[in-house]
Amino acid sequence: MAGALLLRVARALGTAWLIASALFLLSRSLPGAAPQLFTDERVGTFGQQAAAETDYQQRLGLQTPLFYFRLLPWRWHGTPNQYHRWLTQVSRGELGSSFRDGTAVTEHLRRALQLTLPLTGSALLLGAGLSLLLAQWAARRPRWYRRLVSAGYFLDSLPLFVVGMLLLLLLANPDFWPLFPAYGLPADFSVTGARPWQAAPYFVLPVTALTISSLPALFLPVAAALREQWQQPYVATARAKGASRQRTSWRHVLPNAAPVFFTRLADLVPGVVAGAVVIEVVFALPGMGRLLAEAAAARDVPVLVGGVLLIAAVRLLAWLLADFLNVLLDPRLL
Amino acid sequence: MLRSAAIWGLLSGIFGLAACSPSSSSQSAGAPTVRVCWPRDPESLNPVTLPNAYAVQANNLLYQSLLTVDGPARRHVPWLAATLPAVERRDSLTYLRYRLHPRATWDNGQPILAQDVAFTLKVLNCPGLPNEGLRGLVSFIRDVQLDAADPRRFTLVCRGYAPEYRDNSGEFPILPEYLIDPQGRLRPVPLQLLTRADSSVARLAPIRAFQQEFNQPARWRDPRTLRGSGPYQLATWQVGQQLAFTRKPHWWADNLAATTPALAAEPGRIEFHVIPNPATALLALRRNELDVYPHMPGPDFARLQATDSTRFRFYSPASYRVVVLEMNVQQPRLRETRTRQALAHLIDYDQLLRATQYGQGQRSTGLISPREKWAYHDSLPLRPYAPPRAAALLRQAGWQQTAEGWRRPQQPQPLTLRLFYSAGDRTYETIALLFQQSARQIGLPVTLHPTEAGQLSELRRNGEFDLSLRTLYGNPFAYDLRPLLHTRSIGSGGANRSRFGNAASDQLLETLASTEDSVAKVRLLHRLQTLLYQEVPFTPLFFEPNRLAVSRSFEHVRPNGLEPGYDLPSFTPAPVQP
Repeated sequence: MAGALLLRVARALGTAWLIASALFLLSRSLPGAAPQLFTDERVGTFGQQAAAETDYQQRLGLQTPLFYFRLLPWRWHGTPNQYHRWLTQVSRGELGSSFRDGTAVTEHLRRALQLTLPLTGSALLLGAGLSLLLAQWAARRPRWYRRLVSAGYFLDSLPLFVVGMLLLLLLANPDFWPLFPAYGLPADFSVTGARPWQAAPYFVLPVTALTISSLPALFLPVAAALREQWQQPYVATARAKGASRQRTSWRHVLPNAAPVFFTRLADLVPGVVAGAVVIEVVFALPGMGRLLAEAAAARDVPVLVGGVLLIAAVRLLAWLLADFLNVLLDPRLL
Repeated sequence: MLRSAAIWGLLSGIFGLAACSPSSSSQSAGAPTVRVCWPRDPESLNPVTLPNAYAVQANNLLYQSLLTVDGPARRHVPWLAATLPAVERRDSLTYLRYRLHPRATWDNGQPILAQDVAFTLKVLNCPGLPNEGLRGLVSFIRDVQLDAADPRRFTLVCRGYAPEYRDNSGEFPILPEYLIDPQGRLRPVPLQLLTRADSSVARLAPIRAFQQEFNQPARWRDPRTLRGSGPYQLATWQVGQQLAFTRKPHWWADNLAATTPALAAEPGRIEFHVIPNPATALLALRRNELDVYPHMPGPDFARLQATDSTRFRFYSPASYRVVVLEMNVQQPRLRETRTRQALAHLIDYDQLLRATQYGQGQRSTGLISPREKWAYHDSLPLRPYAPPRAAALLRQAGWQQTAEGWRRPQQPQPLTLRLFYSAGDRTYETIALLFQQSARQIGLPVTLHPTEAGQLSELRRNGEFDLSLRTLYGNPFAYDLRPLLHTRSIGSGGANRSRFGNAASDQLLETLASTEDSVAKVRLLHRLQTLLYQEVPFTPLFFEPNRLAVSRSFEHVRPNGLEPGYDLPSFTPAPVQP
């Protein structure tokens, strides 16, 4: 088993390197992908613009060749190239620095994760817990199951933006019920700082919106899997041997439906680090989603590549973890 | 029992959390706090980078330049300088003689001297720093001559002459040498060496040492380093969320007898709240969590005016931002002038203003704002919306209307046009749809291409479009339109995206840029406006208004058409109404 897991870890690391390399090379070689000092809105001094752009590109290290070689026409550049420099940095645990402000990418990611992890992490935990409880409850009640599935599909069809705006207009609106703050965080908020719980009211609406939107993604497949298990002969046998409904549900049915739950959960885990750009925009929270969206718009490739690398690593880790848990539950899957 | 306990627990939790909601008061016993809405973070407060208008606004609280713009008066006024500079032209050089304000000091009590101006110019020209944008602005300054008798006097020696030199020479922030270069590494390096296009300069030991210190990103977030001679200091900066500035307890201009608006600094604290979503910003304003909401979307502005006029004051002065429909004159389909004129008649300007600006905004015949009456060519008529006239012009241009559309005898393909604009911009989307509808009336198909901003920039730079919607930013001071219209500005050399121009128009633009005499300048501006009106490389749709809502708790807003559209340091608490 250890060998198989090691093999999967090695495969996952290889995949992460491939994804990051492809993103790095594509983001720097596609037309329009290079950052520009002057935009259509910001015009340079007459006769100076081209020189200023060249200086800017040179300062960012974009004047050196992109890769070890060029195919057409063939030319060997050797190690002084952008990809080699980036790969060397990554191997040392550095992801370079932002094109926009020169700050280390790791610092940008750390700052964004400080907000994103409590936000999306609590939403995922709430969503997972609620969906599991609801699925367990509904799987034994056919009428409620049908109603909840319909409700689940309805919620699933609602765009996250609509859910966020509805909550904002209902519970942060001076004309309706201004219970919660409309945006942002307290001025001195820090997860590791003093009294982080003071930020709790600021998290209620965004976490609720994210929980509502993630609920159907977990509830629908898990409830279906549990319902299917309830119709299996081993359930009748357990009940005939005197096991209570509760015991049958948690000790016999749930372990058999758990692989579905873990697999769906593994799909949602990368969202914890990727953030939720829509919710971060609606509630003015500077998390990972906004960081990556703004980096993409500004062609801040180091931040973008760093963020995607992190998300890819978490996704691969989540899959590995889900595989490991499923194997623990059912060794035949190995 | 258990269920009701759980429900009560949940409810009391919610109310408990809600009770922790922040206080919405912005007034303290002393100087007031002003809270302003920004749609995005300034990204960098490094005074030589200034990547966007928000960074410039924040920087103007921290640093001062020699001159500043008095928005409502629409002119440059002295700020750190005692008076406007004296201009002298000799041979091929221009000399701008300045004297710094005799009371101006840094926060450490040391006077601000000509040496600091020389240091600032060295920093702006130093290679390897993120100063590429500002370097171009001061590239006309060749040297600084310090006055041996008066350490506050200096002369800027400039290459050639342009009327804009006087204003441009005073627009860069003056940096404190004692904070930025305490070791005096740049002091022995002459400015003329730095202004030379010589790559070996970057390898000099003192330059490399200075680069290393200057380029540490942490120092441009540190309130101890990030301070100039401005009235405010950085209190906190939570990236992507909030910036707060506090009034310095002792500022050099505090004790000046007759304080001009440029030297006002009334608020005790200024907070910029970053709220990207307009609906959220509107809620925050109505919840009294914001005091100033600039650049409001038209529908929100109109709604708030209708519902909350007792709590807010509303301003909408015309700005110098003009939305234009740009035409790529090098596309074979649009090479003929009458074809472009026809397209200009297919825009229902009044409907556009109603649909996108709620009746506000101002039409114009060209790039010059009608507010600038001395320069605006008011003899040119505003182009009407006239589809029949457009059809007639297309026929004159050689297009024939057939069952398949408009085609020329020698061209097998009928005339179709691609309209590009920035995706997600509601104003552009509305304009594009209305234009498409109007063009359809005369059987002209227009395909819409909402495009990501970076991609769109690249397409425009390469001339891979027929039509595009764009906003041009102007001001009432400079009429050097070469970056927008000169043939050398086509492609990556500038911002001439319509690819318009010829030797005659280039000559006209160059003469205009170097003419100081106001009568001659007006004549040249009128000639240029007439040329653009006839050639139609773009058709101006409207000048946008600066929509601004401000809490009635404040007065002395000084709204104006220049960015940011209000004068934050002048804000004072309004007297309480009985």
